[in-house]
Amino acid sequence: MTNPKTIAEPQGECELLVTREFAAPRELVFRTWTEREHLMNWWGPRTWPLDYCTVDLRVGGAWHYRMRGPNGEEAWGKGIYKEIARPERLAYDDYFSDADGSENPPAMFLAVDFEDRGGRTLLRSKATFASREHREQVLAMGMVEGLSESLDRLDEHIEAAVAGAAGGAA
Amino acid sequence: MTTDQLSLTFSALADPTRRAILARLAGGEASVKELAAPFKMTLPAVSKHLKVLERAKLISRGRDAQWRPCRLRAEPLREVDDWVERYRQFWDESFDRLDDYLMELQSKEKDHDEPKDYR
Repeated sequence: MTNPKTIAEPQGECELLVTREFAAPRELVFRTWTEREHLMNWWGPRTWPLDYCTVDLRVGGAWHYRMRGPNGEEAWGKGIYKEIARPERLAYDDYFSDADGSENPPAMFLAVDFEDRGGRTLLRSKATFASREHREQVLAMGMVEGLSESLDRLDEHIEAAVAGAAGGAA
Repeated sequence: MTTDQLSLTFSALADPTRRAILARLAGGEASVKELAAPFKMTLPAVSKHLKVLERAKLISRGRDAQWRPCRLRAEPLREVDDWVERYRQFWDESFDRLDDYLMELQSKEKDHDEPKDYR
């Protein structure tokens, strides 16, 4: 049995909750989420680190960043702060973005709770979609992505079938 | 699965309305009427889409003549699960990095033996 450190669970129709515990006090964990220098050091998968980031930490302010992929690809993101309650809670609207700082839909609302666990911190990040339709839209986007992977497999399958038929005829 | 069946599946999935119907069914079974509601489509138009999905084995329908609820068939629609898993993995990879980074910050603090401003 695997015991993943990060747990993701759909909640109701419009929410997705991600939880993880960190061996650090919550004041510090909160800062790693809200200060540019810290974010540059950890945000994004290892193969997609940040190489640009600005932070304007106030309600209505934004954090805007660029992740850089292994082949030089760019992925821009932008968050608009909705609630800042140091050190227990941070909430923001999360958008896809670009170099100009556009806010591209669909947005998700993310509420991150930092729970004190006696020197450790339980982090709960809850993504909320605007509606069931919105969630379905995001899920359908995931399906399209999955579909293109499946189509690649279909191509392979057909190639194999054609090669098999040619082999049989020879 | 044969190539013909695969083609059937993929052409069924290529239509955005049918994908939206599947996404709706991912949340639980539904009647034709319930499925038609968000699309502003007539019942016969939705029924036509459902037939395509049924032929592609993406959904199954109840036997009850009055209320033939449509159900998503788990295979080959693992994509929803896959999507949640991709979301989880994105965070998992970031959080592994955050884990390491927090260790590093805290060990630096110990080394210097003075309260450090983490900036």
